Amino acid sequence: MLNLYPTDFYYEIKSSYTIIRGKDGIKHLERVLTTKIENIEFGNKHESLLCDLNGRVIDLLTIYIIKNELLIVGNSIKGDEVRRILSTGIPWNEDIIVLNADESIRKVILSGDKINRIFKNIYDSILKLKDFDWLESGDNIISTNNRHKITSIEILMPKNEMNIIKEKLIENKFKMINEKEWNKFRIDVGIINHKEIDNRIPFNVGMKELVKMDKGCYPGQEIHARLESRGKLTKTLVRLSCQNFLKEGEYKIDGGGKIIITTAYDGKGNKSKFLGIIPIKYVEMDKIVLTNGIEMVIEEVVSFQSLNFHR
Amino acid sequence: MGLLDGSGFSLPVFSEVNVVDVQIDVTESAQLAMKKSMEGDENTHVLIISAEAGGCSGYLYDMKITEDPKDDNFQRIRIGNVSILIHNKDSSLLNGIKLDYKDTLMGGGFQIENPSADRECGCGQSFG
Repeated sequence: MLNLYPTDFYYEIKSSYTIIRGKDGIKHLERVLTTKIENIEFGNKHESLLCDLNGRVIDLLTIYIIKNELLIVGNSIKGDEVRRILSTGIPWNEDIIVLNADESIRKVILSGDKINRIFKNIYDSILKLKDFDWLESGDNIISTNNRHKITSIEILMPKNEMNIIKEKLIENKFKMINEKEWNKFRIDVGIINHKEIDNRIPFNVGMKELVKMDKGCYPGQEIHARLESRGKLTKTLVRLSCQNFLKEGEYKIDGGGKIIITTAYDGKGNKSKFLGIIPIKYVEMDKIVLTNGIEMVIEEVVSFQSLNFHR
Repeated sequence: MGLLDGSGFSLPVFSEVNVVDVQIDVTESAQLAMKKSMEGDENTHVLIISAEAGGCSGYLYDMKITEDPKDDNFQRIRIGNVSILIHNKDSSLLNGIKLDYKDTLMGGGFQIENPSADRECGCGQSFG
């Protein structure tokens, strides 16, 4: 898998950063997120969905518990909407302040076999990290991701340290990849992001693990409960490959229904790769044929593997 | 220093609040139940009705009998000897509600009907 990419690479993921200050922050989040967050502790990170009243995903959030504060990392274009929702409905007697930190923090993902050179003094500690933990090094927050086929390291840093980190990475022969290469990486290892989930029902895009039906009410819960009680998935997220390149969008399938290609990588003569949402009836098949005659090979069902349940 | 100790964060994000003069309707059965719940503390305690984020429909009702917070941000509605307080920030959400009390074993207790709610959850505790 690694030889498909530059051996050592990094990518700056554009994200939104929201800080919640005040002792009641976790209680407030517990009321609006799809997962149970009440019992997480300092030093943990947690993933959850914020959904609208129709049960559709607004954003996938990663929450870092940092002493008395919560750092919420989400999609860059959803930050204002998430903050508007979080700053609405704060009870009169609770201590909660919502802050926008978009201009203060940056996030970099890196992978490769020279990671030890970047983190000389703390490499052993990084190796011991579980996916739901993080550690602090200087002003940076470091966490690992072992859920996919390749281990990656995530660094959250003050914006003004970005250039220092970049210089260090370049010095150690890490290559910056662009969005296209990042999407190829995502498709290959099965990293679901905003393109797959935005405004979609979590069950249709592999996000079942982040919907906890035993936690009580949250916005969208009634819809999720109804869908779950029917016990019938209608769509699913899959990785596909094809000799032709198809742009992201909707295509009719010969046999009924449609595929929604959410992420596409142009193989330019080699196989192109995709993440797409297909009707569940095709999931056991090897391929789907579109009404324009193009065949797409179904490689694998892609599901979100939540770090919350790795304990 | 830590990641969150630096400067550069924006001022707190506030949602715009439309403050209206709250009017509520309290049924006779709710008045009796409130009086019973206060147990003679009417001079020092109040009933606070509020709305908070959450629930299937976006907001949850909350009711608390508590010591009078003596806070000017609350609107005070006097029903008999009992003071009902509604915070200004919840005023537009709770204006026009009807507070009722049902004395039944299943699904009994205080109930809120909200004519300005676009949607309500089956359990009756959430609205939006």
